[in-house]
Amino acid sequence: MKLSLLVMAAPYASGGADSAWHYADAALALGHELSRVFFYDEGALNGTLSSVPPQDEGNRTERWAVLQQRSGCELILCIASALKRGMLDSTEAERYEQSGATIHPAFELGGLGLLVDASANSDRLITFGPG
Amino acid sequence: MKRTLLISRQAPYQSHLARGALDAALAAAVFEQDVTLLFMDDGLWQLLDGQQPDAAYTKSLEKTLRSLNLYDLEKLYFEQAAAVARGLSSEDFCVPCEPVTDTASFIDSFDVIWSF
Repeated sequence: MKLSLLVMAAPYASGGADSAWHYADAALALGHELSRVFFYDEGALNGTLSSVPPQDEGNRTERWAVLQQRSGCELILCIASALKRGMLDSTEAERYEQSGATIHPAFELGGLGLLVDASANSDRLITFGPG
Repeated sequence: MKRTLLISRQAPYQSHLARGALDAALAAAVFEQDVTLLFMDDGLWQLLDGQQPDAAYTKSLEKTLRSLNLYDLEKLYFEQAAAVARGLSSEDFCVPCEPVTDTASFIDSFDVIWSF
C-alpha cells in the first residue's frame, strides 16, 4: 500500500512525532511504500539542523534522515510553517538575508499543494496530531 | 475523485492549527479537490460571528471563513452535540453551517480524513 503521513507534532514535546516515526518504520517493515511525510505547523520543527539532544535521548532529526535514506520517501516541511519558526534552507536563508540554512538536508521545504497531492495520490494519508 | 473531510477541532487563537486547518482547506480547494469541513469540539468557537482578533496578534479566522465560498468551499458542518454542550447554535455563526447528529456515520461516508 502507498502511504503518506501528515505530522503536526513537534519533536521533544508530545509523543505524536515519535508515533509517526514508529508507524513509518513499521509500515516499511511490512513492505508498504512510504511516499511522503508532510510536516505541518509545529511538526516543521522535526527538520531542525542543529538539535543536540543529550546522548542518552537519541536525535529525532537524524532518525528521520536515516528513514528517508532507507525508504526514499520525501520529507517535506511546510514552507509557511517552517519559515515563521526559523526553519530555512540555503535558498530561503539567502532570500531573507539570514546567516545560513537551519534545516537538515534530508528535508525539503514545500507548499501545501504537496499535502493535497499526497492525499490524492496515496492509498492512505495518516495524521499525527500534536495532542 | 476522492471525497475529503477536513475535521477542525481546535479553539481559535489558541492552537495555530485552527488557522492551519483553514489554510489546508483553501489549498485543497485551489487544487480542485472535493472538500467538506466539519467543526467539532472547541473548533466550534472558530465559527463565532463578530471576532476581534487584533488582540491575538494574528489574522482573522472569521474573514477567512467568510471567503471560503469564493473558493467553492461551501460544505460546512458542525457537530450538534458539541454545539449543545457549549450553548451555541447555527445562529451564532458567521457562515452558513449545517448540524451533524450522527458524527460517526458522517465521517465514515468520506474517503479521506484530514484531522486538525
